[in-house]
This record gives sequence, structure tokens and C-alpha cells, in this order.
Amino acid sequence: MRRHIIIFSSFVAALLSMSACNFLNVEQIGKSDIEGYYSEPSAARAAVYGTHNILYGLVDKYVILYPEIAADCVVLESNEATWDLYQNFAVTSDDEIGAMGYIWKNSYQTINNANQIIEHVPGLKEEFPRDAADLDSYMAQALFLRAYAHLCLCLTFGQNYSYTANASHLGCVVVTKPLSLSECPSRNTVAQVYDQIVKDLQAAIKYFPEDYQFNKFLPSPEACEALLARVYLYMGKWSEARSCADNVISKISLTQRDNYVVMFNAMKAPEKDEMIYSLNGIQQSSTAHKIYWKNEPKARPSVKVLNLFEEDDIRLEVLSSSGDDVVLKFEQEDGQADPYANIPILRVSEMYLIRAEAALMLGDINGAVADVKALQERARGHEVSFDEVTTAEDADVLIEEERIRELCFEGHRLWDISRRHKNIVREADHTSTVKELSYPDYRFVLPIPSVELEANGNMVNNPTSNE
Amino acid sequence: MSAMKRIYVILLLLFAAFNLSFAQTTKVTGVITDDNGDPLIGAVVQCVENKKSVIADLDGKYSIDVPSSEKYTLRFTYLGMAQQDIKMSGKQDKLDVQMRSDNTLEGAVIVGAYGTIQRREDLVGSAFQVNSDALKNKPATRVDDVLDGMVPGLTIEANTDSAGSTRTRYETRVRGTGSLSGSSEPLWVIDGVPQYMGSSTGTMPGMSYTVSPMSYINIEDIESITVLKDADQVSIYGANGANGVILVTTKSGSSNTPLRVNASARFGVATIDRSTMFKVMNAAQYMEVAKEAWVNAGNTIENFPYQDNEYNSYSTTDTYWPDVYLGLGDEFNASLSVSYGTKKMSGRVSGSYYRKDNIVKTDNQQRFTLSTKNDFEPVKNLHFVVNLNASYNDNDIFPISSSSYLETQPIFSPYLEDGESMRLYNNIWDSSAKKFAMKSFYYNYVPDREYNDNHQRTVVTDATFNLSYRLFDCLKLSSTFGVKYNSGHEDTYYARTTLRGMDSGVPVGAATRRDVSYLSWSNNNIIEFNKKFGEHRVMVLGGLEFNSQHNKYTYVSGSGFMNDKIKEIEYAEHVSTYSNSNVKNSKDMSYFARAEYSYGGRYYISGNVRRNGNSIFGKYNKWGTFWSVGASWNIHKEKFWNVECMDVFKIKASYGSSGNSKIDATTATGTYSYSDSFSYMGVAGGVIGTVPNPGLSWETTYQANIGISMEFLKRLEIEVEAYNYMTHDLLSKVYVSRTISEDRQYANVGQVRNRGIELTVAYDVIRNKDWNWNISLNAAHNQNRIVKLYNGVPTSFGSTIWMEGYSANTHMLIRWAGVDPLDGSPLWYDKDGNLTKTYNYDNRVPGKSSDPILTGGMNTRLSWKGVSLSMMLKYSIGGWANPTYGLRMMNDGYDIVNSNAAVEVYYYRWKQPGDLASFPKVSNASQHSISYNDRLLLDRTFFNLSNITLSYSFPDSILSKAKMKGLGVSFICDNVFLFTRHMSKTFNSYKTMKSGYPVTRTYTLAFNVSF
Repeated sequence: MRRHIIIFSSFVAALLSMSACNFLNVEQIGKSDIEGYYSEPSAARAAVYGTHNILYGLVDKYVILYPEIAADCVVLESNEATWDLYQNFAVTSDDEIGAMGYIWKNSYQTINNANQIIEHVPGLKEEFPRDAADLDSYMAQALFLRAYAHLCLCLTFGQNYSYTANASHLGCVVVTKPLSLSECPSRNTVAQVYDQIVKDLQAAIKYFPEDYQFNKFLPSPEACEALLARVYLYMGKWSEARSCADNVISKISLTQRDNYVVMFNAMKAPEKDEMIYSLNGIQQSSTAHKIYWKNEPKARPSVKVLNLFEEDDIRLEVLSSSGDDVVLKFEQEDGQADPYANIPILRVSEMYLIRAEAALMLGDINGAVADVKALQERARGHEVSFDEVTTAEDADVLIEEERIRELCFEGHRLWDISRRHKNIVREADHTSTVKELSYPDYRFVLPIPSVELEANGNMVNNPTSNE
Repeated sequence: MSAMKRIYVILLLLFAAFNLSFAQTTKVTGVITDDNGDPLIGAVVQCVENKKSVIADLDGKYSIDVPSSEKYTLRFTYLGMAQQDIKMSGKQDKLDVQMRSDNTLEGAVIVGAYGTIQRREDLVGSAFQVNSDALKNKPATRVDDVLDGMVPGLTIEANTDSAGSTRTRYETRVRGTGSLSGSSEPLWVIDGVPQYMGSSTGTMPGMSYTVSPMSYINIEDIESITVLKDADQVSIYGANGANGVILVTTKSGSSNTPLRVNASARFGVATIDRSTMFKVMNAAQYMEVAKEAWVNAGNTIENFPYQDNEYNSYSTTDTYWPDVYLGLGDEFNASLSVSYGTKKMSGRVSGSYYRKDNIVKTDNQQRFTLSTKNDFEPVKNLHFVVNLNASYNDNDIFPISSSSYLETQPIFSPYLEDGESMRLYNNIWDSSAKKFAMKSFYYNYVPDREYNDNHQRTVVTDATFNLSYRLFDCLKLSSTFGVKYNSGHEDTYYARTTLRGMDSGVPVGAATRRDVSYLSWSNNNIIEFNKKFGEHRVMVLGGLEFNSQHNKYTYVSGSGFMNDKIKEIEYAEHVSTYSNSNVKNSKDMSYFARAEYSYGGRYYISGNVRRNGNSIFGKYNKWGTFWSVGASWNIHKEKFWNVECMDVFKIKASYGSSGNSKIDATTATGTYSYSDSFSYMGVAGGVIGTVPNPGLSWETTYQANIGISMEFLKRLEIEVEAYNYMTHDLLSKVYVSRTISEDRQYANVGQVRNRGIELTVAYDVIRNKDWNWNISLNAAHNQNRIVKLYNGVPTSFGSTIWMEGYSANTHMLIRWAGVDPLDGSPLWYDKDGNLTKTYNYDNRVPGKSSDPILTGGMNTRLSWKGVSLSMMLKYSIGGWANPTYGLRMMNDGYDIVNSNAAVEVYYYRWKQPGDLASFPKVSNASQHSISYNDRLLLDRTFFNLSNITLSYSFPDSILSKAKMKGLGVSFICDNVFLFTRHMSKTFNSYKTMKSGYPVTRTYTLAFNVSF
């Protein structure tokens, strides 16, 4: 009997001790789960690259195209149905597979991937103190990517910064950490979004190590400052915009006239040019290139753009090929093996224009004209004088036109129109059915995608008419 | 074998010893009781050898004179009880006998959850058992398929109705489809160890062609298969029980039995049931239709692609492609088993070889199995059971790409003019270039069949150890440990002489090598208390179970081979080689308990509870608790019961919950993908694959079951069960805010209900000494309804839809309105029911479902002395199919210039104004009239005479002379005939579209001998 009790109790004791162990904590070996992936510093670097892969798709397919097609510089071929909606401001929440759906989706995909990096770098730094400098630069790059994607969203889905007095109108959702699946975040105001963008960019600049090696295809301290300059400009913070632009101009110089055209040809571009940040197209197939492809263009420059140029302007050369009016800003060498196109995002020329506009707003007309002059002289190869520009109004027109001349087709135009509270006016023979859109109008922004509205009860759509 | 020889020698010596010891007459005394332990007054005891008999007294006691000098047999008989023959040797002088009722319900036992043996009469829950004699003479290919039509409420269907893999994946459903996104497959448990049966869709991860583990088992090793269906039986399997549990028990030896050898062999011929072959146009018909479609599409006949030239004589070629790929197959199965038992050990060893040459030429399967099961009792009450199995499987696979054997045009030949060189190109008129051009003939798979490899070898080994100790009469401790290792290797090679082994016409050869291993281990530990206190019986069982699954995959590929002799990647061009590997783990752990209480064999109650943890789920929902309660009442045992013709009348009910955890193992933790596809600046990058989903939890099914069992005149048995299963927290992929994830995510939303009724009838029409005839019939009706979806939003998948209030298998199609007699164009109804000529995907409306109204089977067996004839019929009534072949081949000339179509297109197409045609005008420029419309919804009703067996067992009188225990010969015909609606010799019907390949009819001759 006693023996039986011993057997029984030892069996039970064995069972109890087995059940106490931590049996269910399975480690998913094979790097497939997120924690496992972030077990080495190299993971953060790969994640920065992976996020860029997403960003390339987003910018190349949509972000660079939408603000141009919806504005006055692009004429669509009649068979270009996907973008037709956008040119005629007829987009509804259903266009899940067009620019609206993808700008929303892929921007947040970029932000979420950046947030994973931002979330995991501190832990990695603790574990691998030797790699701290590298990890800091990945952190900085992730912050830049997050800021840039928020800017894309806020511009596309929120009215311009000065639409209301204190930018208290709705922008996009600010996401600064990985959210859990059940959350239904609501939209922040434009002011809040811009605040976060500025905060991220300022933080990024601090994270970059002192000896960071500049690479135009990756975010850098210069790119952060350049983007800050643009953001301050949009916010109307003139002196901040001016000083940021000034800083960048002091570090990177303009591309010279000889190299101006090849700068837009990914496979011929010099290693060092005025690109502050551009997306590298190796192994990606470019939609922007295809849409503007010189042999079979689906979109061409409008007469309005072409009429702005003087004959001797080098910038006309990226707007024509064998007598045909086409856009060559996303060129690739078609004959070569594995051709690709880069997508310019930040250039020093834009910094000159920002500095000019900021100077003008601060009352310095001469300073403003001087910066435009620098670009004009580079473009035309000889001295140019702007003696006739004497008033602030003249200078403002000059800057606006110079922005078109310099930055057309690089995804700026719609934002330039809306932040200046101007109307979209297309020439009379433009192929679009809508020739004019007066500011303000609900159609200056896109509606929120229906999938988001359905899945997220806190999401507020943009107005679908002018109340 | 030497150990066995030794056992045999020991047994012989023992027998010799008995023979020497005794030579006098003695008395045997004892008590005869019924299964409740009550004395059986008037039971008859007879000594078979000297024909003397006695009758038991008031206390059930008896005393009988027996010849003591030899072995003899005592026969116990009592009305209503099963006769028992007990072999005695002279040494024994006391024998107490407990007799069992001979009605089938009371007599039969069922292996229930965790191996608990229950009498069917005691059963509270719903369990259906198929025993080895019913599995005899059934196709030996795979173990799940044999259950089809035998178990009420269990359906087995191929997962596709188009030709693809020659190793069709089956969908096994117990009482309907309870999950939308998770798996609806039941849990298989073999000898107490849960089995890994692949991913949630039944594929074997890491392999490109799935060969089901169901085909790795020798069916002759199986003693019984029990299908557990209701909460009372499956709740104890917790998180894996919601889709039902199928328990397989393998054969074992029994103690104190002499060595028994059983050998069997089967030879079969597999033929094509040509009446089930899809009917396509012949060359002349095809040419007529193709030319018409060509011209109708606005082309000139001068530019028709198929004009005779020196390389292709289209007008004289008429190839019937099915015959190119399909032919006679054969089947061979041999097995040998030895079982034995002494006082302290018993065991069984078996080996088998199975080979099947499929009707698809060059496609074959081979299986070698070895299995041993030994039960040792070294100390009294301590049992050690060791179960070791190994199975080696060799599959040579020749998959014909989806329906290409039907769609390839008859005007092409697989060979060149000489009749043997492979045809890789056809010379076709190119209308734009205005000249003939050689076009690659990818649809000719004959070169691939001859020169390419697709070969899988799998070794499955498993070992189960069970140690049990009966501490007291009422208390038993038991531990089971099982390890299963399944290692597969798959080779494919595209030869340089085939198009698939070429790169832009340059021969390169391409090889892949895949290695997978699935390692699972399982441990369960159980304490069981079982005691009878007078009329009360109490059983309590508690346990702890661990399971672990560890899968590893390796893959390499390469191309650029010098010749076709060296196919290994080492000799491929290095730039072209690619390799990867991966691993997946999951674990679960549970505590469980079951309690049963019964009073007087009349009232039964039972309860189960299981607390289940699974690593798949996030940290907040790792654990789930499942439970059930049940009760039954044997009314026929009540004193007031006086319905004489009714021997059994029993009612039962149960209610409880069980879960479903079969989803991808990384869902809760989230994944990162790192590869070239996310590269930037040419360097590989990493992006979020799936976001963490820590809130994810089990699908829980609440199952209610009620049943009535009746038996009349010990001949007719009727069992009716009804159930209502409600699956809550349905796992479904839903959109979340795009600010969190761009992909749809699994979430626990929605409800699905399955409710149904099942009927089993067994009737012994004739039962006497020489003649026996019995019929058993089962029928099941299941109704599937989606009760709730995420936000009520319907989800559509092309031609089907999930919608609240509808079955999960509802078709979503455009309503067909016929053919316009004026111009032959197709007509549809739009969403609002208006006639339209415009094809629009948005005009789809939810309609009929594919759920059958009634499914089941019928078995009957007629025997006279040693001769028996048995038949099996499977059936399914109701439901609507939208067959793949209808969709692809009953077309409007869509792509007809590149593929053959159904014979109906030739006969029924619109040709001229005024034709009242059922098929529209053919035009090579598609009018989309074939996709997503309800034109070809077909009634799924079928009756399948699936088996006829004629057997003869030789009588004992002949056998004893030959010193044999048994000798039998059978002639078996499988898949005898399939009946569907609208069967026709010339035209297609559901019969020709039910499955991708025609039905294989097998004629088998089987021999069975035992010593």
C-alpha cells in the first residue's frame, strides 16, 4: 500500500513539475518573426533599404505624378484612363487601386516600417554598443522617412497649411509607434502633422553621427535640412526656411550647365551633383519613366509650361526629344541591360527658390532676385538681368514661374498653387474636361479611401462638395 | 526473426508440458453472470468434446464434468446473450464467466477519446466506429478515402474538380465546414498520438507537389477507425477538436494466443471508366468551329493559323489526347503479419508492400511498411506497450497541367512524322507576319513525361511508448510518449530535350531539390479512476498533454547542365543556382479531465474540461478553456419498459465547446520579410511581412447534439442524431485601418452555424445458420449558414460569396438569359433583373449553393456459408456545382484557336439568325460569356456504386486438413458505376465534370491465408 502511494504521489509530482515549465514560449527561429529579425544591427540597415524600396514605389508611381497631373503642367493622352479621374478632379473614395488608395496605403506602410526601425534601434544599441554610430544613422534615416511620408499624406489629404488661420483643419493620422490591430486612430490637424514632421527632422539631424558619409540616395543631415526648408516654406516660417536653405546651399553646390541634362538620366548622372536626396532605381521598374516615355508618352508638358521658357534655356532640353515635347526627367538608357530611372526628391535648385521666396517674404527683394538670377544664369549660360523686377508682386511672379521652370514634373506644382491660394487654370486647348478650379475647393485634396473609412470608425472623410 | 522463433519454441514446450501432466476426468466449477454482474439462472454450459451439458443454478453456479486428459472447449449459451466458447486445458478447474448481451448495440465497444473503451450502449456522445472487417477489401491507396460513405456526417471530397496533381488533396469534413479562413479538417490521432497532416489547407509545406501522409499507412494494420463528432467526445481534444476527431487504432496481438500468421496478396487492374471522361471535339469538329470563330472575330480564312505545311499536316491529324496520357494501370498489395501472445507479452509484427501504377501513364506510387506493436507485462499490472512503425514511400509523379490533356487541340500530334521523335514545335501561319512560324508546343507533355523527373521519396518513422500501471483495481496511471519523423525528398528535373528545360530555345536543363522534415512529438499522462459501488459506477480521468511540431525545409535549384545525365545542382552553372531554407515551430500544452457517472446501466452523465495553450496565439490569448456536459438514458432497462419488440431504446444529449487553432504559426508574433524583392540600390532589404496580431484567439465551436438509438427484434437498429454547431470568433481576414497595416488581418469575427440530422439504419434481413443478409444505410443532412460577418460586410471571391444568412458555399454569378436568336450574342440579366447584352462583373448576384441536401452511403452483404457478396453505394443528393470544365471548355469560342473545347460547342452553337441555340455564336474574340455566369450550374446529385466484392472463405473442414486457420479469395470491383443526372453517351453531364480525371475502375483479385 505504501509503495502504491509513493508511486502515485511521485507520478502526480512529476506531472505538476512538467506543467510548471514554460513550454509554450516558442522561439520562431529563422528570422521570420519581428523580434528574431531585429537581433542584429544589420537588420536595421536592411530595414532602411526595405523601406526605401516601398518609398520608391510610392513616389515613382504616385507622389511625383499626382500633384503634376492634377495641376496645370501636364497634358494626358486620351487613352490614359487611370489618371484621367485625377486630372478632372473626379476621384471618389472607391479608387482603391489608384493614386488615392496607394498614397494612403503605401505612405503608412513606409511610416510603419520606419517605426519598426525607430522602435528597435535603442534595444540594439544597448546590446551592440560598438555599432552605436551606425545604428544612430539608421535611426536618423528612419525619422527622415517617417517625416517625408507624413508630408506626402498631409499634402494629399489635407488642405494647405494656411487654409485655416492656425492650421487647425484636418491633415492625416500621425503614427509614431507600432499600433495594435484593434486601434482606430483619428486624423490629426495639419498643425499637429507639421509639428511632428519638424520634430522628426530636427531629431534626425541630431542622430546623424559627425562623420556620416553623404550619399544622395539615402537620407542625410543635408536632406533633413533641405526637407525642413521645404516644410518651413509651406508653413510660412520664412526665416527658418531661409536659414535651412542657406545651410544646405553652403554644403552642396548647384550642378553646372554641362551636366544639367544628364543629371536626370540615372545611368549617366555624375556621382556628385546637386541632388540632395533622390531615389535610386536599380532593380525597380519606373512608372514615372513609362508615363513620360519619349517613344510613347502618355503624358506630355502643357503649352503653358513650354511658353515660360526662353529659347536658350537648358531646361528646355529635358522637355523635348527629337522635336517632340516630352518629359525627360526620369530618363533611363533603354538600350542598356537592366535600365533604371532615379526619382529626384530634393535638389539644391529648390533650396535657391526657397531661399528666394523666404527672402521676399521677409522683405528682401534683392536677395530674392539674386537667387532666381543664379538659376537663370546657370540655365541660359550667360548673364541675365532682372532690372524690371522692382516690386514684391513682380518678384513673387518671377519666383512662381521660376519654380515651374525649374521644378516642373517633380511633384511640386499642385502644392505651389494651393499654398499660394491660387486657382488651377489650364490653357483652353488642354485635353482635360475641367479647365479651371478656383481656390478654395474641396477638390484640392483627395477623399479618404473607402477601405479605411469602413475599417476605422474614427476616420473622418474629406468633404465631397463645397459646402 | 530469431526472437520470434524463440517464442514459438517456448510455446511448443508449454503445450508439451500440458499434454504430459494430466490424464483423468475432473470437474470445472464457476459462476455465470450477465454484464451487470447478476447471476444468469438457467445458462447452459456444454463441453463441446463430450457433448455433456449442465444448467446454472439460482446463484448462476455450475459444475460440469470434463475430460481432463486433453484440451477441450466449454460453450456457454443463454438466450439474448452472445455465445462464448472458451478453450480450456485440463489444468483449470474454476472458470467464472460474464456473458454479454448479443444485441449489436450492447455488444459492440467503441474506442473513445484517449483510448477509453466504451460500450456503445454506454455512450453519451456521438462516435461512429468502422472496424477492420469493414475496411477489408477496400482500396489500399490512402486511409481517409475508405471512410467515404461509411460514416454518417463525414464527407470526403477532392479539393478540386480540375486535373492537376495526380495526388489529389481531399477535404474531409465532419458535420460541415465550421471555419472560413482556418482549417476545417478533423484531427487525426493514431494510437493516441495526434498526427501532423500538413498546413491548414492540407498542403505539405516545403514540397511543390503534396503527397498526403494518409497514403503512407498500410490499411491492413488498422483495427478500427472511430470518428468522434460531438462535444462529449471532442471537447477533451480542446483546441483541435472543433472539426471532429478521427481515432485510428492499429492491430495488436492478444495475450495467451498461439502464433498466428496472416498473409494476403491483391492484384488489381485499373481501367478508365470512359463514361466519366469529359467529351471534347474531334479534329474535324474542332476545325469547323475554330475556322468559324476565326472568321466571326473579323479575320480572313486565308490567315487561319492552321494551314497544312511540310511540318504539320493539320487536316489529316486527329489525336485523341486523353489516350496519349491515360491508359491501363495496375495495383499490387502484399502483406504479412504475425501475432502472438504469452502470459507476459503479446505482439504483432507486420510488413507490407504496395504498388500502384496510376491510369496516368508513368505515374506510380510504392509503399513499404513495417510495423510492430508489443505489449509487455514484466510485473503484474504494469504494461509497457511499444509501437514502432516505418513507412518508405516512393512517388513518381506525372502531373498533367490543369486539363491540358483535354484542351490540347486534336489537330496536333505528340510526335513528328516519323511517329517517335517528340514534337516540340508546330509550324503555324502567323497572320500579322504573313508567313509560317515555328511556335513552341508547350502543351505537349509527352516529352516531359519521357525525359523529365518528378520524384518524391518519403520516410516516415514513428515510435510510441506507453507505460501504464494499475495501482489498485480502480486506479490506473498511464504515460504515452510518441515521436514521429517524416522526412521527404523531392527531385524535379526538366531535361534539355524538353521545352521546359530550355531557355529561349537553348537547352539548359533545370533541376530542383527539396528536403523537408516534419518532426512531431507528443506526450500525455493520464490518471484514471474507475470504480463500481453497487449500482453506481464512477470514472474520472485527468491528464496533461504536450505536443510539439518542428518543420524544416530546404530548397535548391539550378540550371545550365552539360547533359541530362548529371542532374545534381553541383554541376549546374553557379550563377543560376538558388537555395533557401526555413523552419517553423509550434507547441501546445493542455490539462484535461473527463468524468462519467452511471447508475444501474440506465442513467449516464459525463463531463469534460480542457484547458489548452498554444504557442500560435498571442500572449493574451494563449490559453483557452473548453468544456462539455452530456447525459443519456437507457429507457429499455427501466422496469416499466414493456415494449417487447423493442430491445433497445436510448436517448442522449450533449452540449459543449471545442476549438480550432489551425492557422499559420507566425500570425500572432508578426513577421519580417527579407529578400531581393525589397532591395534598394541593388542591396536586399527587409520589410514588415505581417504585423503582430497578439489579440488573435481560437475559433470556438459550441456543439449541441441529441440522439435516439433503437433496436427492434434484435434485427433492426435505428440511430438518429441531430446537432446544432455554432462557431464563434470565426477567424477571418478583415481590413484594419491602413494606418496600421496595408494587408487584411486575421481577426476573430463572425459566426457560422452548421446544423443537421443524421440517420443510421442497420437491418439483418436474413440471419440463420447458412444464410445471412444485412443492409446498412446512412444519411446525413447538413445546413451551413453564415450568421455574422465582420461589420456585416459580404466578402466575394470571384464566383462565390460569404454573406450573412447564406451558406459559405454560395455561388455569386451573373444570371444567364440565353442566346439572342438574331445575332447569337449572349444575354444576361443585370443586377436589377433587366436583360442586357453587356457583360459586367458587377451583375453577379448571390444564388444557389453547392451544399448537398443529403449525403451518405449504403452497404449490404449477402452470404451463404463461405460465399459472400457485398456492395457499397455512396450518394449525394442536391447542391449545385459550377464545374471547372464547364467554365473553361463550354465556351463561346474564347481562345478556341489555341485550345479545344467541349463537344457541345460544336452541336449547340448559334450559327445563323433564327437559331434557337443554347451556346452563343463562337468568336475567337471573347465575349466573356463563359466567366462568372450561372449558365453551367449543374445539379450535383450522384449515386456511386463504389464497390462490389465477391468472397469465398474455405470451410474449416478443408482448412484443418491443410493445417490452416483461414483461407479466402475475393474478387473486388471498385468504382463500378457512377450515376448522375442527364447522363449521355454523346454529351457532357455532371458525370464527366465531377472530377478532373476520369474515374478509375479497379478489378482486384485478393487472397488471404492464415496459419
